Amino acid sequence: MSASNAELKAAIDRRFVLSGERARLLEFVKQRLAETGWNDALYAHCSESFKARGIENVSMDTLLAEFSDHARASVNENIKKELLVQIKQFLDANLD
Amino acid sequence: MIPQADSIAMTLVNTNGHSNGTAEAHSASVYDILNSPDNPTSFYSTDEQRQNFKIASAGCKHLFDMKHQHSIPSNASDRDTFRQTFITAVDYGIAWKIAMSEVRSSGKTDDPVRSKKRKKLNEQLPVPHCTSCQLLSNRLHICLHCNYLGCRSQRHIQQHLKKENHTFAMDFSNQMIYCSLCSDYIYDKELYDLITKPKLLRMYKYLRRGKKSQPQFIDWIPSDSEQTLITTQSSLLPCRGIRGLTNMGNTCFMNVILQSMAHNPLLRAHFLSDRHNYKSCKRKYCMCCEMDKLFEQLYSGERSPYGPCTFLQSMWLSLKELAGYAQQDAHEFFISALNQIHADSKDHSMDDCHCVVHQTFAGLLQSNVTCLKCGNVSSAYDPMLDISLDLLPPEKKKKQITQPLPGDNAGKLGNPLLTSKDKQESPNSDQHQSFFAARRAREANSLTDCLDRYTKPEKLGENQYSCGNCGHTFQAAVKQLSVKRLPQVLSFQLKRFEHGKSATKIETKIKFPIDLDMTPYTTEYGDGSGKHSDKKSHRSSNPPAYNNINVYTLFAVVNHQGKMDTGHYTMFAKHRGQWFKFDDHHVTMSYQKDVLDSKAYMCFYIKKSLDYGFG
Ligand SMILES: [Zn+2]
Ligand SMILES: [Zn+2]
Ligand SMILES: [Zn+2]
Ligand SMILES: [Zn+2]
Ligand SMILES: [Zn+2]
Ligand SMILES: [Zn+2]
Repeated sequence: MSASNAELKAAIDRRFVLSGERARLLEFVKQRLAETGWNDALYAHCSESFKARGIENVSMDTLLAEFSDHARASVNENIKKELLVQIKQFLDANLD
Repeated sequence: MIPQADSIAMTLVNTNGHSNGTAEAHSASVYDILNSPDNPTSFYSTDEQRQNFKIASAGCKHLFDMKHQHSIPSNASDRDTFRQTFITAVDYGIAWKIAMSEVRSSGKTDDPVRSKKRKKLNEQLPVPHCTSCQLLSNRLHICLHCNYLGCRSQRHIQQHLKKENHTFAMDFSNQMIYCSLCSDYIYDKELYDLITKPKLLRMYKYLRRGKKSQPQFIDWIPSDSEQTLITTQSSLLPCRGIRGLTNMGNTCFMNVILQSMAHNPLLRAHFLSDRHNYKSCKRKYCMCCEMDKLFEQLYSGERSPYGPCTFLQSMWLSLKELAGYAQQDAHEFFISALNQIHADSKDHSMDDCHCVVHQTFAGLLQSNVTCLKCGNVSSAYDPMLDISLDLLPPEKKKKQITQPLPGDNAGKLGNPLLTSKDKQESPNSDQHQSFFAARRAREANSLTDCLDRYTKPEKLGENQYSCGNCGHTFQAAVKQLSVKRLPQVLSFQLKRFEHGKSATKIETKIKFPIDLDMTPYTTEYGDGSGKHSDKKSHRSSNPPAYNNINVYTLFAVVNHQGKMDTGHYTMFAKHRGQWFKFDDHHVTMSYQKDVLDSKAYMCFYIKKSLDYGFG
């Protein structure tokens, strides 16, 4: 990435957070995930693995390494689309 | 690098209205008392327990070492620096949270005063960003050894910890401590209780300023003489409160209710703090005494199941109609027990009762009847201890429920309540149609669906309502329920049993959430929005916010298996963050998934914003 690209990225990131848009989208995604039962399903998926290996042998880092791909893949496609639309709207409104 | 403590303190002075110094240092905390070297050995059952306790209240052994380097003088300054850095980091994180929440609340209204304030806050408070990649949005963490601020998403914080041989970092957004030696987030109860929690409570209070007042509570700070009493006259006990109950011949209906009460944080706090002592109570067959005995038994440390026969006996004797209790319905027993505990409370009264039952369960329902001729609204209020929800009969589904009553012409009159609802449910495009249909099918049998139906406008029959405004003549009218005042503990009954000609049971699975936002069902919400029909859109656009006082969390579920008369009751309850399944004398560990997968008959929720250290 060129220097100006990185600068642009940092500027957008800053606007994204400071405008409150990031927090809004975060809550939006959390809500949609809960609606589709994603949390419950992932919880069940992980707790099976916990039971198998014992709770002492589980850490956040291993958890992330093991389940991130599955967790991302199991997000409902509609949520991804809805989120993308909203991010595009934010970019359109802020890239002038 | 994180900014100077001064600028953070400045912001907190501005937002909190008072200095946010280390107030927690002034009075002896429970940890000071428990760890005091002056305590007699009798206070700890064993030396091992003395040590175990300290380790248990630290997040991990590494943090334990960091916090308890008393014996090594050269490390004492390390320890103090760590503590001070943690306090500054928490302050910064919270100050930023407050600043961002000001941005969000001012964003919509565009109130000039507020946006001015936002500007001021943003200028004062340095914007937190990753020192390595400059980005703000990548899970920022603060190194608790050197103040380095870095992101987790691109592993800048991990790289820093490794390179500098530093161990602990704090997640900037939720104040969780990460230990690089454990490769994990750790839960340090002492640091949370003494530093993070008081600061968060102040933040919530600040964010809610000007809104509905909160239930007030006073922290108990033991005096010197009380401290001496505690450490010389008592001894520390391991965690308790899990004990099975014997089935004394079809008494599982009682056992599940007793467990639900034993795990109700408000009832537990009341009885364990000795607010009704059976040894000094003179009342005969007193149900409060029975509750007190029950808690004594469940917290006695005894592991063998307990037979609550005196509870049942006292219920029988104080309540004639329960004798020869044929129905054996858990919900009926629940209501009877509540009424009896209320009646036996010292401070009970007919209205605005402050007994433990009413303080815990009492809410107020509002019923509005709108005359469709003149639009006049008359309101009636009904006290409630719980909410009983109708289920859709299986197979028949919605059609039968929404079938218009004979002579109903509310639709033609253009009742705004009904038409806006219809509009919402019949969107124009096909794609939307199938989306909503799928969504309806998915949600038709959820607790929130039942609540939607419970609070939706209902047309009254021809001769059911006489309007005072229309000269006391019978008029077509619409009735709607809402919750005027929410209780601290919200209990739901899902009406699975139909007591018709033939007693039947509805076996439909009702989906229920862990967190429940009751805002859409409050009278205030209905009044505010004018329309009562956009509950679903409220749910998706305004998810339960951390500062929303109407959000509840699940703590117990009662289930019924088998046929109506011959079936069996079991229940799930949450104890110290862990779910357990109670099947009479048989108690097993359980998972949230098992709870949510169960076919609930009763669900118990507690308000999240009450701070009772619940969960
Ligand atoms: Zn970074
Ligand atoms: Zn460092
Ligand atoms: Zn550790
Ligand atoms: Zn009594
Ligand atoms: Zn009462
Ligand atoms: Zn009228």
